[in-house]
Amino acid sequence: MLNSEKEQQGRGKKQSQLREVLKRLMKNKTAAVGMVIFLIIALASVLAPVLAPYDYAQMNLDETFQTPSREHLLGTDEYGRDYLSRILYGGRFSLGLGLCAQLFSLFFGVILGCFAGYYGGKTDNLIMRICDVWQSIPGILFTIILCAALGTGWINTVIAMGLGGIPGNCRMIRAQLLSLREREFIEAEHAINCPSGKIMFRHLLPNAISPLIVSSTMGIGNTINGAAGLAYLGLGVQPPTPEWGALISAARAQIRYYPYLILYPGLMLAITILSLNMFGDGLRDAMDPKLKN
Amino acid sequence: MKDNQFLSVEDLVVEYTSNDQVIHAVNRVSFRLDKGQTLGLVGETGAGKTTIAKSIIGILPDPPAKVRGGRILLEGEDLLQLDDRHMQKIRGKKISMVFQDPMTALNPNMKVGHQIQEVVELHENVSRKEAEEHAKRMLEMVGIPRDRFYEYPHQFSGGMKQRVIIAMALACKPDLLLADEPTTALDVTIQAQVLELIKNLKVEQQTSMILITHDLGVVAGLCDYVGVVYAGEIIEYGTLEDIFDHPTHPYTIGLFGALPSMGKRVKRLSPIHGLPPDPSKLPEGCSFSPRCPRATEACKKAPVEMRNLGGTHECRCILADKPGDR
Repeated sequence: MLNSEKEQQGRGKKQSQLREVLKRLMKNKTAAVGMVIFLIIALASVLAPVLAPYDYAQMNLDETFQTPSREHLLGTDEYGRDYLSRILYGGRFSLGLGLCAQLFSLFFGVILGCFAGYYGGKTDNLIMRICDVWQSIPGILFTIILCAALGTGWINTVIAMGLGGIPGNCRMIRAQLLSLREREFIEAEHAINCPSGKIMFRHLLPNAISPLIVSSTMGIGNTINGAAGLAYLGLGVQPPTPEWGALISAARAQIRYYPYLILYPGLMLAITILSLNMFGDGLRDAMDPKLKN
Repeated sequence: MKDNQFLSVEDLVVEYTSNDQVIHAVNRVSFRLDKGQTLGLVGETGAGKTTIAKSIIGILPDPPAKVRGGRILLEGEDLLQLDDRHMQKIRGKKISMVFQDPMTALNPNMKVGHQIQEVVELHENVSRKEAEEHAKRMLEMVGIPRDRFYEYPHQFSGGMKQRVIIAMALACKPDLLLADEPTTALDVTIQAQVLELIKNLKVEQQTSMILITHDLGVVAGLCDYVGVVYAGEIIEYGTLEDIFDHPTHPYTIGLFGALPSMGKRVKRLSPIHGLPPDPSKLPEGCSFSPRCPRATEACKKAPVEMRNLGGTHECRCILADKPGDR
């Protein structure tokens, strides 16, 4: 009863798309929890300079391998650096890396996929054959080669991780567009003479993007994992930058004596990925106007 | 004379190519239409009615479709010769189209109002605000409250969706409206509403219309002229009275024979036997000859030309000059 009254009021009022999606997202408990957890982690990472009690690179060789205490809430590592500070800062690099690499591959994948799927024919063939070649190189090897060629560092890692994801995204968008462009409403758009760019990005893309959003939010986790692997190989983010994967690989040596050193960043990684997966799944539902209410 | 003609289609030929097979979808179709008048194209599924409409508005999928010949003159201008830039000014503005299935002809991810607004923005030189206002007025015109502007297509019923589509088609006051089976997907009561709406709007805006349908009842209610399409050809053409009161082509007669009629008492309706010919292998002579109860050897030899039966009434049948033995 109350709900329908509210709806009556809401009807006719202009509501931004974002607010509507958020409203629907909050109704899905799992997604809402996922979003809140992720926001907390993201916020903590962004506010790391304020929250962190110490400088993440400040060494103190008198206080190595300290167990958690009042001064160092999560203890210290082999160089006596405050572990809490390192994890907080680590979030910045890990999350940033995951997000940026996914956005990078999403952006270029969507553009290429749109052109391939919409124009078809020769354009499609050319783009798809490039993707074939691209994907014939094993993913991790491709990233390693790129990392070695581009050099280490945060930005280069983002590019290396992102490039590997482009053909996958491209294919997914293309497949969606191939079926969507035959639908009658696209024919109707042609009949009112809508320009190609507008048809592609305003009419086709919103109908095709949902599966990509899920795969991309879930892909953030994979990217963070992959970056950890790179860090272990000495590529990717370099010490003393405290990326989570790097923290894990650094703590491996002490796993028998100080297991919590590997536990904390591992837990953070797991929680982040879990919350992203919960959030991503709910987001897909929330973005589909048909599943409203 | 010809230059004053609002729309004239001359000898239009359209083919589809698939797997090295040529499908003759439209064969030498010609008709004329004056301003403010309505032409009904009737015929079976696959007869080429929709292809005719799509070639006029220029949205045939190419490949596989190709216009092989003919002219489509709109106010003396050949639409088939126009380059893209000029065609853009015509498509959507001067000519617009209503599609068959309202369930799929709207973008499910976009608010209906914005879809109408988009047409206006594309063709009229107005600000966003004005376009929105215009779109809301269009909604009201087709009998939908303006505050439903911000709703999605799935929140509308089929009939309302079709009305939104009609609003979209009429938003820029087109000179020519192509209605491709606008009521086929709707139930009978809604059909009547939508037809009434189209009729009124047409009169209000002085729009010419080509109505594609296989429902002779709809034709009787709306059209001034009727073209009967069979296997990509117009086999009989004339005013509503010509066709309904004096059907001449055996196919047209067959169509009426398959309809229940209030006046006549018949035990059984008589269907037309057989199926339309395979459009990739059309018969050499009259395309209806394999099914025609009156076909002679001469029918099967050479293609039949249009014959004038007086006035605007034309028929593609060699027996047609004997209107007496109907």
